[in-house]
Amino acid sequence: MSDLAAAVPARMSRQSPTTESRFTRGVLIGVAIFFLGLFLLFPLLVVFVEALRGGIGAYFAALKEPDTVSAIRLTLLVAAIAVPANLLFGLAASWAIAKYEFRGKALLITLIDLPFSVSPVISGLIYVILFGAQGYFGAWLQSYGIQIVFAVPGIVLATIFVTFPFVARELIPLMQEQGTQDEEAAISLGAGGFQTFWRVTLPNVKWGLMYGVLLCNARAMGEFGAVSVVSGHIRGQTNTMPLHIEILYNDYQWAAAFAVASLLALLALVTLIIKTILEWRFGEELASAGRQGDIR
Amino acid sequence: MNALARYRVETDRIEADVAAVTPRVSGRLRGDPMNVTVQDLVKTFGETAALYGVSLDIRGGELIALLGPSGSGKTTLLRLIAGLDFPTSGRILFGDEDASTKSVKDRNVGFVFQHYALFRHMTVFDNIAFGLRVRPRSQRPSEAIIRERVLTLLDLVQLPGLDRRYPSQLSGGQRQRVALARALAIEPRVLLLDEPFGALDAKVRKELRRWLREIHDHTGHTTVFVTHDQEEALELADRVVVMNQGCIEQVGSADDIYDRPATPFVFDFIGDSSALPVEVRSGQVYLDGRPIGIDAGGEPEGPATLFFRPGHVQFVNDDSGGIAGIVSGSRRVGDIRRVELEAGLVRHRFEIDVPADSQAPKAGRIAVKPTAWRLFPKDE
Amino acid sequence: MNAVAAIVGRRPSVIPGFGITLGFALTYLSLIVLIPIAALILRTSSLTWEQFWAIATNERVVAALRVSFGASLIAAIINAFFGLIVAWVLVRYRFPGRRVLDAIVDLPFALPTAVAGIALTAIFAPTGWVGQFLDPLGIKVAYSVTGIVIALTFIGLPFVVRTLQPVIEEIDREVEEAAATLGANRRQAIARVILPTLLPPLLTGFVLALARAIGEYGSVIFIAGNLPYVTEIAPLLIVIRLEEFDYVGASAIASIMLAISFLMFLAINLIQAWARRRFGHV
Repeated sequence: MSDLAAAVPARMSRQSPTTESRFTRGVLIGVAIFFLGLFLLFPLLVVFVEALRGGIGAYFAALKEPDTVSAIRLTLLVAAIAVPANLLFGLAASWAIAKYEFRGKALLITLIDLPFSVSPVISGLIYVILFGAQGYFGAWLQSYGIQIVFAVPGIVLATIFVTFPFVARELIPLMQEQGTQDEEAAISLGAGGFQTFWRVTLPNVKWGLMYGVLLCNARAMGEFGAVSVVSGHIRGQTNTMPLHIEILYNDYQWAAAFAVASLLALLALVTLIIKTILEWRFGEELASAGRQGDIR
Repeated sequence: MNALARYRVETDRIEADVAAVTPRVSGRLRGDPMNVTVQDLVKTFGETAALYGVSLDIRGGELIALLGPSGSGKTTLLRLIAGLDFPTSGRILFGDEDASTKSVKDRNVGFVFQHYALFRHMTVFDNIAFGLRVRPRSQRPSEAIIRERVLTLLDLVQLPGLDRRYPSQLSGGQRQRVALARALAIEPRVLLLDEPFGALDAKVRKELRRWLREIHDHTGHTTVFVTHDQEEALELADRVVVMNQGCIEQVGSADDIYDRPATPFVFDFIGDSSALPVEVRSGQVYLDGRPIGIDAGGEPEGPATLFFRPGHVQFVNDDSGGIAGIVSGSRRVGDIRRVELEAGLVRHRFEIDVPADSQAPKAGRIAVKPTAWRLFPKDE
Repeated sequence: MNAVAAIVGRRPSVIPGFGITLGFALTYLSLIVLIPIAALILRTSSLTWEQFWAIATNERVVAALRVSFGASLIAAIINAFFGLIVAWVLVRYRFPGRRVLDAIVDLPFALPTAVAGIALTAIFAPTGWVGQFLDPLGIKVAYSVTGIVIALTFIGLPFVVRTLQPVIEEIDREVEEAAATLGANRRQAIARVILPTLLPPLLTGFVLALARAIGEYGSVIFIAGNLPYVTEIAPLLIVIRLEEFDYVGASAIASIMLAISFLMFLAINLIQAWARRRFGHV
């Protein structure tokens, strides 16, 4: 038998019929790495290098600048309002959609997705049209001395709009997949509505919820276009971090602009890392559409 | 049968046409019976071995079944013959030609996948025509010939008029037929089917089984199919290859396999059987130290296992001449009644069949003697 | 609560909270999304058809739409091509760093557009990291349409990859093996069997990338140069109209873009309906 094995001629085509040749594989991997490297990794690297170009001291000095500090504070404030608001909405909408059958459900899901297909600039514009000086409610608001556009409330509204679908979009398919049996069982055992939600539904969707909140937060802190339209760009007052980057950049304070940008880039990296960990560890407990959930 | 007859006529005609285009494939349309020889095939996946030196001669035109439990290596063997995987060592010959060095696309085998693997974006027609259309230009038949051949094959598999359907519009049985037609279209030297009826319900299975036999008899391809269903294998195949844990246990006709199982595994795997641990001493068989009236023949002395089928027993009167057991239960199985017995001190369980109308012993002690049996010495 | 239930004709359920959750969701949706968008459309509809047409065919508007569309189209084509390769490589091949590469694909979703904008500009400006080598060759990337295309490629990249990946994962290996047993070489198997099944998701990803690119603002304005008629994108023109307090003009352009988004959305749904009909579930 060993003789026979030795007599076996050299194999000509050992390649599996369902993959490409080594050469093709190498070329394709090379192309993919090059493309992703050039378009994704390289810009990320540039942000940090440019930020630290003037040295660590200059970097932290730029971050301690009062206008920068106030931009950071405003960004955190806006996210602290927008994210919980959308979280609440996401929970309510997904509960209603997943646990009951009613007419117009498909339309409702489509409408929830709507903000994703609207240009960020338009997301800001709609609030200017409503609440701006020449907007529908502009004069009325002015008579009460309330300012929404070109002030913090406008920034919050625009941010809520652009991050509107994130939590709902993650939770709806997840809750639909899980059906209503758990809840029905809990209620048959005597649990109340809120108890059922808190003890049965929420633990079932907690990782999906975190996933949605994570993406919602990243977008809320990083939104530029929509916020730019409603902000008014008043330094130290209505500038979020992304807007502050623009101002610094246009003032040729490049190092400072990149310093602020590096903070947001760090946020993006942390978001990606947590997201990846969630996908690896709890992939099963995220929505089956989770992969596509963050598309748009 | 009309379709089959027409297939032969058409095939002869098309064969002549194709032969004019491509001398290479002439005479192969109806499956030039091709011997397939498998020599000492070993296949390991990483650490674990799937096949341990399997050798097998498949005669041209034969319909052969690879039968075994899951994990026995039967699908691995089929895929090695097809060239979808490559052996760690050993050879595969198609006729006299070493096929081991050829890639799957050059082996010219028809392979029917368990889940059909039809191309979803193509019509039935395009699915069947695929193998002809991807040929190098010099060997590619004209579209007219392809068309004729596809329609003939559709008649053969009894799906005339479905050429414009998409696979998603077909039933499971219909998809299976399309998959077979697609495999036959390339004039394969060998036809290989992986659990061809596995995904179908029982009734369709039986129909397709008979139909596959008919197609085989008319086209004459050397055909190998994998199954875990012994009824299917024994009914359909000329010869059955029983596999277990990467080895061939026995190769033989249905009669050989059923009546003359070569190994304990085969005896156990095929049909119903009882196994009792016995001892051979001076030509006699002992159970728990008592002779049971069976002549050991030439079997070596020492511990052994006695196999017999529940139906192959007769009652004996005295305990000394048979296997004495206490009835522990009985149940009706089809036309017979199966009685469960416990024998000896350690209560070895075994079963016997009695006529359904007989007054089945409900309890008590009876003694039986196998009329046909096999003794396999214990290895250890 | 019963009122909401009656309006939408829901089926009875023992689970409580339908009225309050749906009521809240609908109210919130209306206040944040529906009413503001309705206001935009209302503002546009205050124009007569002639006035609207005059704005829509204004030379600068047409030029801006053309720049937005043209650049987005090129970027989406680049993304379709490379996205297909990236998705294939990430799903099918095993190599060191694959998981990192897979995770990094989502960067454009996570990285704020303004950050991407200034980073890309720093790379491609005439004095930038790469630009300094291209400038002497007469290749101008930043402050030209090329720069816009690069920013939009960055933005659209994940759409194609993430739409294709699950579909590639689901390709049945048996189908590829079937092609091989039928005599197809690898090139034929890819061209005739694999690519046709990837066409619907590829088109979907392409349209998603295109739609996103047309509306994109933040990453583009830094690298574009924003020269009217040449490198001025439609969203920027909306901002400019707003700064001129020309709300109606801004609304009109915005409405045109909304209509475009709607058409894209329709296209995606048609593609998916077609794919479902054609490929079904085998």
